Amino acid sequence: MHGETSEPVRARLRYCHIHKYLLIYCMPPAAPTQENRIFRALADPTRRAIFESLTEGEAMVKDLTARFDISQPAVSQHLAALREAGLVEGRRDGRRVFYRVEPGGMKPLVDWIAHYQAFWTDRVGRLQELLDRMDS
Amino acid sequence: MSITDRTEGAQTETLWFEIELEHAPEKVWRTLVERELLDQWLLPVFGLRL
Repeated sequence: MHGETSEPVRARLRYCHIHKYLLIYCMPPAAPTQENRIFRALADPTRRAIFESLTEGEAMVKDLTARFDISQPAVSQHLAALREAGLVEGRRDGRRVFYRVEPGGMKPLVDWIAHYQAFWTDRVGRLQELLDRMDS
Repeated sequence: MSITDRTEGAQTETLWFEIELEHAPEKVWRTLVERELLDQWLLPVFGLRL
C-alpha cells in the first residue's frame, strides 16, 4: 500500500529485454497531491538550489537574492512554492522574515522512494524464488 | 543475484534497475512473457502485449 491511498499498487510492464541483464521499465502510479507539490517544487533547479542553501541555515529573501542571480520577487515566488510544498517555513522576527527548511517536509518524498525500493526488492526476491522453483 | 539502480541523476520519468540473475536466459525470458509466471512474481497481468 502507498501513503494515504488504499488503492493497490498499479504497475504496468511496458517492455522487457533480456540479454545478459534483465531490464524492466515500470510506470509508477500517480502520486498523491502532497508528493506532486514536492516533486513540482524540486523539479526547478533554482528552487532546488534555494532549498539546498537553506539547509545550511535560515535566511531572509534579501540574503537569498544576494546568493542567486535572480530578482527579489523571483526569490519570493520560489519560496512560496517551497512553502506550499511544505519544504520550507517562515519565521517572523519583527519586520523581518527568516526562511528555513521544514524538517519533516521531505518525509513524503522519502516515503515514496522507500515504497518503490521495497516494492522492487520484494518482486525481484519473488522472481528469484520462482526461478529456483523452476529448476526443481 | 544483484540489483543495480541505473536511474539517471538528471530529471527523468523512468526508473531503471538492472537485475543480474544466475539462470539461463531462456528460462528468465519465460518469466517475462508467460502470463502465469508473471502473475507469480510481479503483478496480475491483463492484456500483456510484448
